[in-house]
Amino acid sequence: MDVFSNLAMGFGAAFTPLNLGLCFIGALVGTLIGVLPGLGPIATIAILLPITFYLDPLGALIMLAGIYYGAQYGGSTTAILVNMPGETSSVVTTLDGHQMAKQGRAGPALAIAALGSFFAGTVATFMIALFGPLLAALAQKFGPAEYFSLMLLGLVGATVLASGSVVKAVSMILLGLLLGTVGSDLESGEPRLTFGIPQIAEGINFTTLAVGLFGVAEILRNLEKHEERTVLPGHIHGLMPTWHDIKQCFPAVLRGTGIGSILGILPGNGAVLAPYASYTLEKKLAKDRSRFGKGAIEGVAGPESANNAGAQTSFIPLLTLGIPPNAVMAMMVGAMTIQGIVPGPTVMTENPTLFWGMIASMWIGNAMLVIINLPLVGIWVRLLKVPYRLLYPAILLFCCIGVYSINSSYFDVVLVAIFGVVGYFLMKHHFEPAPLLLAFVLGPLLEENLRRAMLIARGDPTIFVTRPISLVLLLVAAGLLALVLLPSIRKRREEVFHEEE
Amino acid sequence: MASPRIRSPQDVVGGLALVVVAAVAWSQLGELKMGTAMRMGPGYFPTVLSWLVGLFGLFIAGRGLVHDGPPLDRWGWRHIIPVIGAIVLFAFAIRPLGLVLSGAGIVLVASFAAPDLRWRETIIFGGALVLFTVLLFKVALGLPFAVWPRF
Repeated sequence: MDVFSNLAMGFGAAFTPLNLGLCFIGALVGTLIGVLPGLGPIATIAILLPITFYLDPLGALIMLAGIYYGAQYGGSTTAILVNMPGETSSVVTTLDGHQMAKQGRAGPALAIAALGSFFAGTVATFMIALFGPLLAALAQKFGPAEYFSLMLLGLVGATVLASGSVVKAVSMILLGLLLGTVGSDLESGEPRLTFGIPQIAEGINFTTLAVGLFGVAEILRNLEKHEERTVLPGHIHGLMPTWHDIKQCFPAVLRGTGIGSILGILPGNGAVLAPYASYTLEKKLAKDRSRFGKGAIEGVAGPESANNAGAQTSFIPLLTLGIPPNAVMAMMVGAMTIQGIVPGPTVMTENPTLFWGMIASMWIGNAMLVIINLPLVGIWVRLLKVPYRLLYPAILLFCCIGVYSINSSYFDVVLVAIFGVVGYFLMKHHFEPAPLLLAFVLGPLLEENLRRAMLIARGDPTIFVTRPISLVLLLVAAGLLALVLLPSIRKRREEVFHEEE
Repeated sequence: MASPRIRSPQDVVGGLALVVVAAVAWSQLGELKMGTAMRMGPGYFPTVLSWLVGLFGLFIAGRGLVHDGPPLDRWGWRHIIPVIGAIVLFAFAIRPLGLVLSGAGIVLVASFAAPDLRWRETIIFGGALVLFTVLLFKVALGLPFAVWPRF
C-alpha cells in the first residue's frame, strides 16, 4: 500500500497558496452558513457553483468540500449558544450543549464540539485514503448491470434513511427520476417532456432545482416560523475543557466517529442521521442517564464527532463509485461535471492529484476549522445578531445572481421561483425534497445503465441477478426495504425520527 | 372503517398532486417510441416512471382517506407573494435593467415579506449589498452582466 506516498502527493497539491486560500474560504463560508439557521450547504453550494467555473478542478472541489464539513462545525455553535440548530445535523447538540451553556460552560461545550469534530475528521480522512482505492478497484469490475443495481441500492437506502413516511420518500425518488428525464433523449436526441420550451431542451439545470427546492422554499418556511433568537448574554470565558471533561468525552468521541464514518458511507444522509444514533448510544451506555438533557458533555461530544465523520466519509461513494450518497454529494457531482470530470473509479487513476489533493485538503480544512471556530467564536456570535429580515433578501439575491450566471438565462430564474413554490408545497405536505434531488441527479445515469445492460443481455432482465456483484447489491436493497417494512423496526424508526421533531 | 370524512387532507391533496403531475407527464409522452425491453426507446423509462408516480400518488391519497393524519396547513401568502414576486421581477429585469437596479429591486420587493420590516435599515443594508455583489461578481469575477440599464 502506498497510501502515504499518495497522501504526500496530495498534500503537495493542496499546499499551494491558492488552494490553501480556497480551502480557507470554503471552511469560512461553511462555518458562516453553519452558524446561520435557514441556509444549508445544498443551497450554498448551488449558489457558489457558478463561481467555480473560474477555478481549476482541484481548487473548486476543495472549496465546495470545505463548505460541507465547515457547516458541521458552524452548526454546533448556534446549537450551543442559541438552542437552535444552525444545521439539521446539529439538532441533537441543542439538547445538552445549550444546557451546558446555561450553566456557564459554553466554552467547554464549544471546544469539545470542535475538537471532537477535528478528531473525527482526521480519522474519517484516513478512512477515505485507506478504503477509497479498494472500492475504486472493485468498481473497475462494474458493468452497466452492476451500476444499475448499485444506484438502485443507493436510492432505496436514501428512502430508508430518510425521515418520515417511506411511501412518500419513494414517491419523491420516482418524481426526481421523472424530472431527470426532461430534456433530449441520450440515444435518439428526441425531446422528452420539454413542453416545447427551448430553455429546457437540454434538461432542467440541477442548480436551478436545488436552489428552488432548498434555498427559496427554506426562506418561505423560515419567514412563517419567525422565531426570536436569544443569544446567551455575556462573554464566553474559559474555552478549554478540564482534564475531567476530556476523560469523560474521549470514549464518546471514539464511538461517535465510528458510527458517523459508517453511516456516512451508506446512502441516505449520514451526517444527519449519525448524531441521533450517537446520542442514543451514549444515553444507553451512560451510568447515570438522568444527566442527559441537563448538560452531559458526552451528549455534545458524541453527536458532533458523528456528524463530521459522516460528512467526510460520504465522499467515499462519490469519489470511488461515482454515486452520490446524499443530496450534498449530488451537488458535488454537478461541480465535477462542470469541470469536465466524470465522478467514478477513474478519477483516482486518471486524476490522482485531484483525488489525493482533495483528501489532503480535508484534513487541512479541519485543522483550519478548529481555529476558525474556537478563538473566533465571538465574531460568529455577533453574526447571529443579524436579523433574518436582512438576511433573507441577501440570500435571495445571491440565489438569483448565481442561477442567472450559469447560462445567462432569465428562464432559469423563473424556474427557481416555480421550484420554490413546489418545494413549499412539498414541505407543507411532508414530502422530503432531498431524495428527489438525489434521484434527479442519478436518473439519467440509471436510465443509461439500464438501457445498456438490457441491450447487452438481449432484453433478458435476469442479467441483474445472474451477475454476482449485481445480485448482492440487489439483495442488500431488498433486505433494506424488507427491514423498514417490518412492523417492529418501523415503530423503532418512527421513534428515532420522532425525537428529532 | 372508512368514514365519509377525509381523514388526512394533507396526504389526499399531496397524493392527488402527484397523480396530476404523472398524468401531465404521461400525456406529453404520446409521440415517443416505447421500444422493446432489449432496445428501449426514448419513451420507455419516462412512461414507466409516470405510471409509478401516479400509482404512488393514488396510494398516498387513498391512505389519506382511511388513516388519520394532519389537516391542511395554511399557506403564508403574505410571505410567498413578495418572495416569489421578487425572483420573477429579477428574472425579467436583469437583462434590460442591469445588476444594480434589479438587485435593488429584489431586496426591496422581498423585504415586504418580513414581519418586522424597518425601511431605513433595509435601504442602507440593501445598498451595501448591491455594491458588494457588483464588486464580487463584476469586478472580481468578471461575469458577463450589465451593471446599469442599456438604452
